[in-house]
Amino acid sequence: MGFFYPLPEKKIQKLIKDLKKVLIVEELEPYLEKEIARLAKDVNPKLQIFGKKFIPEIGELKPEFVTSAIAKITGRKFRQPTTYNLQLTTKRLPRLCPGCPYWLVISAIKKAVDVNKVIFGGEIGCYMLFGNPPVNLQDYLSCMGSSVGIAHGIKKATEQKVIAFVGDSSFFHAGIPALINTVFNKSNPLIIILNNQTTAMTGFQPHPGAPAIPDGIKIEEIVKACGVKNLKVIDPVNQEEFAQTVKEFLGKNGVSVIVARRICALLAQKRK
Amino acid sequence: MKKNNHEFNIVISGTGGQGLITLLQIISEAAFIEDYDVKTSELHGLSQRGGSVEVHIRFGKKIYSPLVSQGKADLILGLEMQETLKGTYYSNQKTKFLVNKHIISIPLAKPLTETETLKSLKKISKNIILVPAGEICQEKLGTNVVAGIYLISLAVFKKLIPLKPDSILRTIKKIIPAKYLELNLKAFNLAGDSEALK
Repeated sequence: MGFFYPLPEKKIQKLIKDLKKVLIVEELEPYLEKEIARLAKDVNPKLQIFGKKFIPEIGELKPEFVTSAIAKITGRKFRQPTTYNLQLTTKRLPRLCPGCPYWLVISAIKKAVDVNKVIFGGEIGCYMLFGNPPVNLQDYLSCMGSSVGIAHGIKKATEQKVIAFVGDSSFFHAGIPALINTVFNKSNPLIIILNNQTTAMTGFQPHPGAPAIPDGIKIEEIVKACGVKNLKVIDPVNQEEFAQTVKEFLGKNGVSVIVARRICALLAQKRK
Repeated sequence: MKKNNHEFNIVISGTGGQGLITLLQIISEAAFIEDYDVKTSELHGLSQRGGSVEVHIRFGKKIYSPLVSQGKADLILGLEMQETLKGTYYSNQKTKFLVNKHIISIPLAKPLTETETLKSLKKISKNIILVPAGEICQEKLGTNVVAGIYLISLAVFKKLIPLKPDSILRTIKKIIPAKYLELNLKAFNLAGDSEALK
């Protein structure tokens, strides 16, 4: 199809005009399926459209799932290959690197609060691993920039304490509008910006505040400009100060931000 | 290479940090310079942080999609024994296994021993070649970091991968950064020598 937004409608209509059955192979939501059903009404109302009836809505789309769907539609037999029972009970989950500065943030937070009484928000980045054991500091996880927005919603709707994590590159990418909204619409989550000075998870791409960028933008200046009154930049190596600030900021009426500034351990190695 | 459909499917399974993506690049580039159509699939990002990683390499006259289907692997390269067990999803009766005799324990889990893991593997396949690649490299080269290169080199010398050892050698020279190249070439030659001695 080439691309699917905007949808090449004429191309699709030309293709489906004379067909009897069509199988739509897409991951997750039935986006194309719905659109194609709409297009078929005009050019081929009798067209039988198959999609999520046979293709899973969750997980990765493996080739054998598609083969099996084709078999069902065409009424043929598909012999599933043997699946072995391996008795592997434990998954090998990824974890933060040894020496990662985020370990320091985690340990300070665990000293500062009863983790069962706080909601923790995550995003995409190394800190999404906070959801895995032994860290277990993640109650929700969605796209970049979302942790702040969702934290705002939780604070508006409930009395619970919320700590939202946002990485520095995510903050630049999509966190700022959410922060402004949180300040303007007056709620009070604690936002911890994990300032490891790079985009570590995907391979150390620089971001607008990375030290490698000349005259880089300072996160704390943006936060201040957004109207945040409770702001501290802390190297999480200072555990006492970090833990104290978390305690103090969680009790504030307005939005609080801690910029946890310490360079990614892998990046520090690379620089040597 | 299978005669009827002219394709060869490799799955490499291991854990983050073992260099799977480098191995994928070397094998796929080697297949490419031998004029095959190549498609690959990889998992990255999370992988560097010690999680499970599996990469797929498919090459042949014409390849339409990058993923190896369940039960369709011709060769499973296991860099770690427990991960190799997971790779059996892609194996059939004829699939060959070349496995590094090595266990990396899973944090917070009861570690499986080499014997236990091998026993489970043998239930699934009779074509398992277990090689202490890490130990060999440690003994002869003073480091086990090139165990993966040793293993894929061994795979071509043993004709488990239908590519010429020379193509792998050329792509190692192309892909590995200059400061690590000598060590990697030694691992390649070590694999060649051990096959020649047989």
